[in-house]
Amino acid sequence: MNANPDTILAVAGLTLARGPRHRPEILVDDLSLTIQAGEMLALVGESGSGKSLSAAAVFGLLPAGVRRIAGSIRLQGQELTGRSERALRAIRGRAMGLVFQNPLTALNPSLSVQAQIAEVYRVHRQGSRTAARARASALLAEVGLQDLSGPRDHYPHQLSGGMRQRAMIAMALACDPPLLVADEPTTALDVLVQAQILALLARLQRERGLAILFITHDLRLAARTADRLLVLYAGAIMEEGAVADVFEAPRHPYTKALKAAIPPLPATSQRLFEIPGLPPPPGPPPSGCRFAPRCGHVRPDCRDAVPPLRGAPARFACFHPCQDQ
Amino acid sequence: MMRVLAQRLATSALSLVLLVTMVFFMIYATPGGPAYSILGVHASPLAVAALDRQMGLEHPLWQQYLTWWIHLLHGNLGYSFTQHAPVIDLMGSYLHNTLLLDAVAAGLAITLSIALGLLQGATAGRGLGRVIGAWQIVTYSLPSFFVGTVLILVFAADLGWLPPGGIRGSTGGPGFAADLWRHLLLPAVTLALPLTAGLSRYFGQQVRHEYREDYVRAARARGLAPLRIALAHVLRNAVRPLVTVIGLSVPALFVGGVLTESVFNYPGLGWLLWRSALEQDYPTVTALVLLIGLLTILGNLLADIINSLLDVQVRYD
Ligand SMILES: Nc1ncnc2c1ncn2[C@@H]1O[C@H](COP(=O)(O)OP(=O)(O)OP(=O)(O)O)[C@@H](O)[C@H]1O
Ligand code: SF4
Ligand SMILES: [Mg+2]
Repeated sequence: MNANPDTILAVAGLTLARGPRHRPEILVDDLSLTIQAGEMLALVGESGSGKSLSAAAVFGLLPAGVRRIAGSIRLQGQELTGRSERALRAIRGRAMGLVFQNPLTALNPSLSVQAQIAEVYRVHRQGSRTAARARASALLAEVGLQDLSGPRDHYPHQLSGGMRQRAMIAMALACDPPLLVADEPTTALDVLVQAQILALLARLQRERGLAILFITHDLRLAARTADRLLVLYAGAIMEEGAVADVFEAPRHPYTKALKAAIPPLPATSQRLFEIPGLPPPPGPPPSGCRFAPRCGHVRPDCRDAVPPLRGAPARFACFHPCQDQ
Repeated sequence: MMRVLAQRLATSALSLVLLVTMVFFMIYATPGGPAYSILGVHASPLAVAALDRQMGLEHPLWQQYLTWWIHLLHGNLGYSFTQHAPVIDLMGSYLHNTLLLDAVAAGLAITLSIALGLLQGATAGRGLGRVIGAWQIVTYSLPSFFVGTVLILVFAADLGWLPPGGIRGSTGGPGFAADLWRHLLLPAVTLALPLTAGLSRYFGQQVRHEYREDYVRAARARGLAPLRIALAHVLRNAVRPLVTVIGLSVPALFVGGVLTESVFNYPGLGWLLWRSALEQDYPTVTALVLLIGLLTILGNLLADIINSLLDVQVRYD
């Protein structure tokens, strides 16, 4: 299907739901995205918009009670949906790595970071203990932890938050996967460390030609770090395209409102603008625009049908897009 | 590390002092006074009077308390008039037998608990997890004399596979170890069963809790197999608190031992305690209470030391 050999991840029509089969609550609705090698796509949305679930679906690790009711997920042209758990295990960690929000809880406190990195390599590459250990040292050096690349073991509690997240990234890259998914990788860190981790991701993207799916609720961070943006609202795509289009000239009222809600730099504690209201809770498929209750541009016809994604090169789902900023 | 160890030692020493003091006051509070509790209720008034004098009961309480300590430290635990021997000499072989039985039972219980707990934690809320949960409640509530009797009826009386009790036909010689095992098996299972129920339930909850942690999700996202996650990741973190609980269940072993050893006629401390209590051999009972208390304190100390050794490299301080 994917003619482009550089396409690493291609998700099409992904729909996730929970609840009874005859009356499902839609959590992610018809999500489609592609990421090329050496490209970073930011998945942006408020809490509960379905970012983490989408990542979980890519890894075939949906929580109990959540199911995929439609859609395909292709990694380097290989369909992942419908595969056996065993087949997926061979792909996770080897062909795609996942980095979590909180590196302290995502690391096993009883094992050294070296052992945890070496383990991934040994499991997927059947390498010797020494080879795996050498690999761990090389990876730690690559992510800027030269101090940990010696023979001594280091346990998670001995590291700072930033170091832990670097170690998590090293672990995700242990088998040189073409795809890295980072779910709010800097949210638990302070601002300075945040910038360092983002710089590290950008470097890995460039040096390794890594495809990165960067998940964040922070539109400004996304715009500064990623090549393309995908704005998610209540599980559905609102707008998608290059940063230059989506962030600099948003067509969707939701993107525009998100941008207006960004506090000016230097960050003042007070938000100048808040989007009034709350996102709708998960429910049956809607009959109109999901954003209508909170939209400043809403017109009567917005509630009659779900606005389809349209436009090029950036796409947006809105009947009455903003013409200019 | 050394500081923690010193603290643990201090706690154990304090527990020991408390134990000895409490037993002292229990004896002196018995109706008729300490002479009766030493000589037994059937002692003649003459003997009681003689002992009262010999023990210096005319002295103030603090002096008697001091004497009590001095006797204990010299290993003077009194004289058993029913067995016609110093209590300290009685205890040696019984202690040995009990430690052997308890070690086997504890080993069995710990192995089973870890296996069951891992299974239960990994299958929580599903069929197998529920079956294990029900099994724990049933075995926990079965009295050990009942279990022991049933085991004897089935494996000794009916099938004739194992001896119904005692410890060994002969000492030494060929087949001695095998014979010892055959005698140990049924009482060890009886003793281990309720212990396994409690330990595995606790451990299962611990495992279940660990399975909800982020690092398990992260391990799955790295493509690690369920068995590897269970053994190399979850077990390591869940087993830590188990060590403490095992230490705390040492008294359960001794208490359970009283009934189990009696049912199997196994010559251990529990059996001795049972016999001495029936014969109102108070010096022996007192000494056994002290000994069991001491072993309990040592068990807890050992658990604490193991725990802090496990803790050395790890944890968030
Ligand atoms: N295990 C689950 N069972 C049922 N519903 C779930 C489960 N996990 C998430 N959801 C629901 O799915 C929706 C999307 O959740 P998701 O975790 O993907 O949000 P998110 O965009 O990652 O938000 P956040 O920024 O808070 O992490 C939410 O409405 C949430 O309540
Ligand atoms: S479709 Fe209508 S309600 Fe929805 S975002 Fe556009 S203008 Fe607003
Ligand atoms: Mg999330």
